[in-house]
Amino acid sequence: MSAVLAGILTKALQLFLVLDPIGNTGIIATLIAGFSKERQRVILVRELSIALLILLTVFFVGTYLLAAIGVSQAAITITGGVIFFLFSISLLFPGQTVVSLRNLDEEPLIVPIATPLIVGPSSTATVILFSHEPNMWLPSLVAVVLAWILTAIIVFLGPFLLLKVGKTGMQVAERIVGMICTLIAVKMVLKGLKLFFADLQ
Amino acid sequence: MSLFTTTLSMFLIMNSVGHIMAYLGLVDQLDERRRQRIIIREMFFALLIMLLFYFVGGLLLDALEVSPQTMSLAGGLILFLIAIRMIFPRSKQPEEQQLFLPSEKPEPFIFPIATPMIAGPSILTTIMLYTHQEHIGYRVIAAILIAWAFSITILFFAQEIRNFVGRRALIAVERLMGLLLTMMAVEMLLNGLRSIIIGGIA
Repeated sequence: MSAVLAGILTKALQLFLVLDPIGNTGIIATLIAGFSKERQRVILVRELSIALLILLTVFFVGTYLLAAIGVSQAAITITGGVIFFLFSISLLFPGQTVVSLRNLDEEPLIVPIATPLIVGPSSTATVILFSHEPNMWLPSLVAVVLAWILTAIIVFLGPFLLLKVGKTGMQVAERIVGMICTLIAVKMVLKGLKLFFADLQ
Repeated sequence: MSLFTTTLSMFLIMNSVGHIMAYLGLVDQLDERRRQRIIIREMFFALLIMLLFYFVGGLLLDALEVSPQTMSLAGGLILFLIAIRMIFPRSKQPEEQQLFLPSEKPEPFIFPIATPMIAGPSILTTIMLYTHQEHIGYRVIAAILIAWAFSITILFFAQEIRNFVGRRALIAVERLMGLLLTMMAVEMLLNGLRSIIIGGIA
């Protein structure tokens, strides 16, 4: 039982780091800073719900979709790692941001807050990876929802945090998250390669 | 590779969903009937170009004596780069803006809808790769035709789709398609590696 619980917490933490609310909340808060307090709340609730919807859809249907296109688990893991790596590089070196933040004069809908900021390619890959593990779908689902709840709390506190921590503190936090993400990304690629070589024998 | 996989990857590379906005931008001054005629005409040009490459490409690669392993590795790499651009469309933007100068907008004829939007370099390379990889030729033709049929349907109803789901949802769909394509590309790379590890370098 405790092994299951530990598994849930590990996965929730991993997905939480991939969702990167600490790094994103500054960007998100800046994006909606122009709207009134109430409007900001409406936008955040809507975007977070869409994000959960995407996560759950990917969790339940993603596996079948990937089975249909004939992609092995090794390929999924390596893809997740590589995309995640590109993403974490943009956290570490924010000058050349990968996430496009243009055309933001209108109210943000789905893009860029729900996806790719909250649920990006890396988190979809991670969720697909979770749902791929045999006999573990219920703990994985719990982990996904748990990670989303944690993310939602932090994203929701975003505008408030931005005032408290200040821009510098946010930037420092983003670098640290970037480092952790890079490590996880390389680990994912290695895991995928291991799967690939194990499959060869 | 199954017919489904080949068709899906071709459909994803044609990227009709991703082209909806650019296409509508090109024809926004024309009336409904004119648009429909244009998209059907352009799509048939695109099909013609793709089929031409199907025949010529196979001959070319045979003449170069490219091994299936090379094909698998090169194809995987090319697909991977195409897919990454769909997910992180940063470098694509200025090129497209360059393509469509807003000042003079003549009615599109072959360029830029038929090529390079639909039958662009990426789909043509992919057709060559698949033709060389698959020994059953009709499968590639079938894949091209099915993927093309879906693409023409999507572009024919471009205005309706855009009005229904909105611009942002289209971008989101393109990103998801890019993710799928990346996975297929990595799988292709791994297949190439596998055959090298097992069978040695041919």
